[in-house]
Amino acid sequence: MMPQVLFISSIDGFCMRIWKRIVSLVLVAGFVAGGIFLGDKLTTRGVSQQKYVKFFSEKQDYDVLFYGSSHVLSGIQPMELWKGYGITSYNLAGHAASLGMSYWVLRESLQYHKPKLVALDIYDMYAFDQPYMDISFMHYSLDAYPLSKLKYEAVQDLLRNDTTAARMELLFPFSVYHSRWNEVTSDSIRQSFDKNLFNPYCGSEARYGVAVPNSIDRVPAEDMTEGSEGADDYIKRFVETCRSEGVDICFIRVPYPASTDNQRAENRVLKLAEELKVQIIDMMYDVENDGKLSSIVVDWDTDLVDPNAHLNALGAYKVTRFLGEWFTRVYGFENKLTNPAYESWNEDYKNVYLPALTVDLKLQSDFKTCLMLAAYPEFETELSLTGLYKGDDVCDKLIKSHNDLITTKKVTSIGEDEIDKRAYFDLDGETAVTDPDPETLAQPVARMVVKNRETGEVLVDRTFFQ
Amino acid sequence: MIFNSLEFLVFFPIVLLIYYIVPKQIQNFWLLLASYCFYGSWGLKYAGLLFLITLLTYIAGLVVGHRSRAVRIDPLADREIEADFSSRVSKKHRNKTSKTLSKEDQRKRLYLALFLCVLFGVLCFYKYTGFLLSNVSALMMRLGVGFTVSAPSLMVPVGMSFFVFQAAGYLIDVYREEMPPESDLLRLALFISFFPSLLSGPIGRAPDLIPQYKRTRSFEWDRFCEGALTMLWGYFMKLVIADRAAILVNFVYGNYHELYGWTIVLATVIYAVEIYCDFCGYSTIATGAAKILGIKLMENFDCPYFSVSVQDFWRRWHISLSSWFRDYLYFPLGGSRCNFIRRYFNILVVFIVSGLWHGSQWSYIVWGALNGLYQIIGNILMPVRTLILGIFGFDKDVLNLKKNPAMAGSMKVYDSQAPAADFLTPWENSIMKKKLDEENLSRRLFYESAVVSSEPGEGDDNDGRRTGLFGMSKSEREYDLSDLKMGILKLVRIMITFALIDFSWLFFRAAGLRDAVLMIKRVLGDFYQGAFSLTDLYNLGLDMKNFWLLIICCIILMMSDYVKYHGGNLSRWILKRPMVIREFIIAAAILFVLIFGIWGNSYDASSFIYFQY
Repeated sequence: MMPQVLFISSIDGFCMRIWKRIVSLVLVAGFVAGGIFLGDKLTTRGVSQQKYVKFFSEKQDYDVLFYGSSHVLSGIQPMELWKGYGITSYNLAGHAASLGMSYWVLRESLQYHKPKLVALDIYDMYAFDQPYMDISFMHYSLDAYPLSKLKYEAVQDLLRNDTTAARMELLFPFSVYHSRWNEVTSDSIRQSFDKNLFNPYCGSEARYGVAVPNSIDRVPAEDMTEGSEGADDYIKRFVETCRSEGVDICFIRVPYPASTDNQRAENRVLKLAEELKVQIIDMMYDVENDGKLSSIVVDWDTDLVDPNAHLNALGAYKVTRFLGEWFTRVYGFENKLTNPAYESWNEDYKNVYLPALTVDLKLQSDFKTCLMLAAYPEFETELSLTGLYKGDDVCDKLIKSHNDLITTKKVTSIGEDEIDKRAYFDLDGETAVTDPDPETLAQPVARMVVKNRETGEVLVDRTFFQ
Repeated sequence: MIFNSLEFLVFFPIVLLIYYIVPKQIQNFWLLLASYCFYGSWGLKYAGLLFLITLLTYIAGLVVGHRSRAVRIDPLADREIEADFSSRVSKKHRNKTSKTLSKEDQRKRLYLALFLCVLFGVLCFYKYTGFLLSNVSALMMRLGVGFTVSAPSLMVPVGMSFFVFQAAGYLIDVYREEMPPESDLLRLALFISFFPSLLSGPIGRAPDLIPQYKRTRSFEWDRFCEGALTMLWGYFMKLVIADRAAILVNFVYGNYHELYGWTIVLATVIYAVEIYCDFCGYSTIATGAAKILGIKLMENFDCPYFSVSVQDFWRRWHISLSSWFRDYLYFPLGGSRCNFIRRYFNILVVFIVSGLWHGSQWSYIVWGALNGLYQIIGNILMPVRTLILGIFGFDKDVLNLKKNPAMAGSMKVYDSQAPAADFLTPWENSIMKKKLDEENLSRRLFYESAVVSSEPGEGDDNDGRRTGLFGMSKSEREYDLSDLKMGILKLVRIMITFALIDFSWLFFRAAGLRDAVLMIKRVLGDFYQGAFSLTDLYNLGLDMKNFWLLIICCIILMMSDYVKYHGGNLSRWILKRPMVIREFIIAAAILFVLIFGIWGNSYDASSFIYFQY
């Protein structure tokens, strides 16, 4: 009997030891996993997550999803599309996103929503050996998507010529973000757990400022570069994916001062699109025939934020309105502004988009940028100009183009009582003297008051020196 | 593949898992295969070279060890083993002069010389061809001879200096009849290419390691935990401290001509930390990984910055290399059993060769020579130092580490081939215990006769050999003034030693000898101007938070070394905590390394300093 008892007790001891070791391992793994989760949350940049919060949480499918690079990111405002045409859309473009990246973002995003239409910008499709893209920009487009087989495939494809460590960086962003521990502050911790922190522009990023490009010759449509196998393949796969999912697809050409090389590359894409029977919305269609590059939607003098590439908020507003018209007419999208199922969009417009736009407006000090923002129908602007004001052609063009959105009046001077306790800027937005001096020429020449059209609340009251 | 690469973090668990699953007879084969995969990841031709050197060593061992009188150790069959780690045969053999050698021994010596020439010839070819040719060209130019030779761009196979020294050590041990030649090629190949120690050591000794490969190894949970914790500590040293310190050091050493002298001093002090954590970190990871695999590697560092003299430092720094030079170069040259001129010559030769081993640059040679000179000058000034200390009431033997254990601190690793108790077979344990008892007795006799002394503390390992950082240990008796005096003296000696060693590191780290000299001039000529501000510290590559994190981690390191110096063992202490607390501490340590470590895609994982040697 005794040996049997000893045997059983030794078995029990062995089991207990094994059990304890398993518990030990589980505890360590649990603590470490919890710590990594917390560390990841605290150190991540979060811009990608903030971009996608609304996209992931949206219950209804979208009418349109936009893909492309920063041209789309800053060139299309989904909320204006909603307000003007009742079309639901989301901007899924990414900074410096290559065609390959757009393809994989399409694949990822279609897992969450099946839109009626997908719009892909044709900029830079042949610029690099696809899918080349700077890895730091890849985080913006991919970080928000959870680790999955599809994400693994995307990373393997996009970084096919890169190191394992680089791939791991995208699959486990903590491997790079952990070094941001020294940027963690009480504010950043609060933001990390703030569920109300998200991109208020439905994925897009408005840019502010005005720049004028040099004039560029237009390249004839038949002048095109040779295609590259990599890019052609991605374009075809992009189209096939949309069609296999039952989603309509169109290519868009967001206006920008394209170099002749870019134009040749885009001519090639336009031809390929015809072959693939994909509709093209070409906002740089040649209507003037003067041999110079122009846009049927935007004005090069007022609608760009930098001279070579991106649209400013005014340009984005114009492009969005144009697309709204196009989508309504060609695709027959229903205006859902009054549809109760989409009431949340109206609320977001009122409670999220407008306040964000207002904050952006309040941050501007450049005269032209303030004029540019006055284009939005949500605002009404009163502009007082003295005889000393000497605006340039761009200022005049901006004022004229806004029609009834701006009320301009001529005044002899801007009274001291009115300018008291206000900041002063020159017309370029640089902080000017703090105290106007009547003895010198340091007198204000313009005053701009921007109000909320609906409530009459004064949002901006700026005084400018020449 | 390298320890802090993602590949290794995948590779090692797979190797480990299969290692303990496969039948014990093929464990060695699996380890060898893994080692060649590990090394082959640096290039297949390197693996080929490693194999050729192994084959050469195998044949050489059989030739040199033909009719060896060394006893073949069979731990299972022969419990009354005669040979211990300081073999009587070898001592007898060492005392032989060439006149007393038999024809057979002379033949063996010739073969040994031949094979060593081939081994070191290959090493020198890769390491010093460029250096030699460029210096010959420069000399010719200076002499006005229009003779220039373009140095070939030879890539030194990574870790070559380590495995060639390990192979050479084996051949010498076989020649000295420390051990019989290894007839099993697989076992010898594993000894030379064992992946944890392949790239940067520790340089193992055949009489210590080969018997370990003869034993079968089973998985042991406690050993696994200890090994894993050791590895974690190594990662902490490397990723959190060394790589963070490197940012500041690289910045200052790269821009010293635009910076004040104080930044060079600061960077050199931090470099002392960097190189310690970098190399010791590697060795610690290697030791931990080997421990998990059931192999005990030699401890490579023993609190080197608590050394009280340069000689003491070299007993604690890169122990496997220092002891290699001691046993295979210093002793054959005559060691210290000769007149003082020859003794100083021997010291200088050993340290210059050590400098050359580290790299083919004049700055390394100067670094080695400087360390040799420190010891020579220290010896010459010994009477003066003793005289001065006598004025303060110290005994004449106060500086003698053997006669004054209170000054010596930890002496645990002086016997570089002593395996740890947990890896010993019973017969080895009894021999070790006997040796320790003898040592303790002799130490205690010295200790009792010392004027200023300290009792072994309660926390001492098991043998009372550790005596406390400042010569004071916990004991029942009250501390008196002499303890305090000893403590102060020890602290002063530690600081002076550190200053001397750190000065030599400047030559080690500088891009070349010319840069080192310019940096010294900068320190002497343009130390600082204007009022010092703390913010000046944060413009040296590390922002404020990173700088202070580095300082905090250095304090943690110092505390850990302090515990170790006193015979403590942090990992064992952690493993004895109650389960939840223990797991929490381990997880917190892992997270600390993950968050504060310098790693990730932007980090160059191939940046262990000792890889270049």
